[in-house]
Amino acid sequence: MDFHFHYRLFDGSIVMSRRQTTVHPPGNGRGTAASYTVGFILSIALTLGAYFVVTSQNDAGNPAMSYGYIIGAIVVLAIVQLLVQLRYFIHLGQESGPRWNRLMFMFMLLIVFIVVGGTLWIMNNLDYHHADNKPKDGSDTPTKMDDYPHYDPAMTPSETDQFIIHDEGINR
Amino acid sequence: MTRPTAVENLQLHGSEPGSDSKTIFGFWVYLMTDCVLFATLFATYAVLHKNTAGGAGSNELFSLPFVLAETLILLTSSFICGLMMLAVHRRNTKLALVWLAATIILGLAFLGMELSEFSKLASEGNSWRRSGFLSAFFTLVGTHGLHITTGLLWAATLGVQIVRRGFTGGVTRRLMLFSLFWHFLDIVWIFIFTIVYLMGVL
Repeated sequence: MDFHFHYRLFDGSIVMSRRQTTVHPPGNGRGTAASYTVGFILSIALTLGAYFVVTSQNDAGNPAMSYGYIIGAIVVLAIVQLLVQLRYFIHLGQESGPRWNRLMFMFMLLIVFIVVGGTLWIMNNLDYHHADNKPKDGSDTPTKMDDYPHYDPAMTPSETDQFIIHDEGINR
Repeated sequence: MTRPTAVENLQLHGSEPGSDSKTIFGFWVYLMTDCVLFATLFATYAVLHKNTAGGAGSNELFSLPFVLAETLILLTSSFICGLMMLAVHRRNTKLALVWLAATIILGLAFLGMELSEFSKLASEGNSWRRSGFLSAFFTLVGTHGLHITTGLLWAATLGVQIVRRGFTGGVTRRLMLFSLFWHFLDIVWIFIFTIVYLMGVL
């Protein structure tokens, strides 16, 4: 009893206690046939759900949901499926003792958020050369873009650099 | 210290107590870094997916029913891999080998479908050389396929080890690591299915 209390005190602290060597790993066989089956059925339902959300919109011709709602729906379904598989297949968060696995998972989510979110944020801001800005008539000749009325596609690369530097308000 | 539970007794059998969970934690850290690798590839794809250089875009190239079949096959493979771990923890050699073989066969079916999709795209002139979009597509999906290939080789090796050595501590531990790896690849595929294929045809 005393020992347990003693080791408990170190939970979550940076002090390495011996208790931490007996952490339950994820995927250590805590699942039962029933829990794997529940996870499997939920995953199939979520996959088919996302599939039909997308295909029904394509077949209908006039979509009942707007593009934004469809994207939102399938992203939510994917995240729910992530949680289902973490819970029923990988058994994350069901370990005893300090939760290093969960901590690592949270840290990974933070890094992924910074990498993906940061990339999209910056690249959407610097969309001077994105294909979106190509003329809508399909011709290869770029025209002046609506968002950047002073941008001339015929500029040389160094002129383009100067344009971007000026447009971003960078002083040298 | 408390007495180990039945499950812990099984997984720690034949090895120093606690060493398995350290190894599995180390492998978990690897999986998390692998997530970061896939995140960079997803970000690259998201940036480049409209840069088709005048070629075909994602809404013209992908066949959704085909990809749905791939997804369901991989999902079933992941489920059966879980059933295999239950058999391993009950020390049922025959059942574990049957489930492991089923996991491998479904994995091979998935890989075969993926490679046939790749060769079809390449033969129609839509290889990774065609555009930034296709480079990002082949890199992202191909990296996942490479992981699947590695997992299949690993699973086959483990099958041989079960037959030759039975469930020693080392073999059981490696089976646990493999099942983690296989479930992880299934989760990555869910995001490829959603972001590349479902959003691609919209």
